[in-house]
Amino acid sequence: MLTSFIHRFSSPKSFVEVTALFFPYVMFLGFLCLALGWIWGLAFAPEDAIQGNSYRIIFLHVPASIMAQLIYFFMSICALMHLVWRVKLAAYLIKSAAPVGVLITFIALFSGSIWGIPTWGTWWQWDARITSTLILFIMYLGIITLHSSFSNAEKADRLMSILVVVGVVNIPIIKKSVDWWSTLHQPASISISDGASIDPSMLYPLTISILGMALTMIALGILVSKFYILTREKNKKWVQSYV
Amino acid sequence: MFNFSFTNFYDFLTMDGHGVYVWTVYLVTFALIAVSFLIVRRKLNVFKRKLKNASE
Repeated sequence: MLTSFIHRFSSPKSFVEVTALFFPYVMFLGFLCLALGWIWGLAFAPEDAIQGNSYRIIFLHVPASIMAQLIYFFMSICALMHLVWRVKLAAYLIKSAAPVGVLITFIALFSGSIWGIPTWGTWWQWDARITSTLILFIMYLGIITLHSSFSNAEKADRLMSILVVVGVVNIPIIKKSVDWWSTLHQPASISISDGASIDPSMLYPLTISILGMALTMIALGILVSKFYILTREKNKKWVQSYV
Repeated sequence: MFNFSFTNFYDFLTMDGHGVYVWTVYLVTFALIAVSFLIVRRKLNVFKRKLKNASE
């Protein structure tokens, strides 16, 4: 029963049609929240007592880092769905989410490196958090490369899903790296179990920025997946009539 | 909570010497996200056009 439910609601055609309906709203809300969170954080949040104004990179770096991990987590759920229930759409979504993951992980690494110059005196350090995030970036690239290296798309989907499931072990390592090892990287500013360790005047714009980044990445993901699904299924009748 | 944190616009831009780091990160990120949307949108439109032409 569960299998038939999943298959009925996971056809690529329905996905493209349904997501097209709310894509403009997601994109608009994403840009609006990002603009609000960033303007608030850059201009109105108070200066940090220790780091000075360089801490304002937090309103971009933290949302990007969270999304870099969440996108991989989403891909691992899709990979399980593809491996267990053979859901075709799940494989399409992994392939579409991977480039978005590359983009946002690059932004997280880049913003962290720039932030490191005034704060740590170096743009790079082989510490646990930074190295595990670099591994995540390489994982995203590896997933794309693996899929592109097979001419048989179905086989590529299966192998890509296996690689995604294997690589998910890196996500708790990234999350816990600042607790397990002594690193240059500061501990989490917001934690589900411990709440926020920063002042509300910084927390509110940070929360809005996280929401904005999430919605923006969802919008980009919808756009990429639409392109990928239409390309992959271009010989199907529904694509001809949809276009 | 909504008091401008800087004394003037010049201070806002320089941020006590940290402006170059902060603004670089925000501008590069904005550009990367905007370009990503534009590239995918363009690819999608080209694909749709090609498929339409092929079916006609």
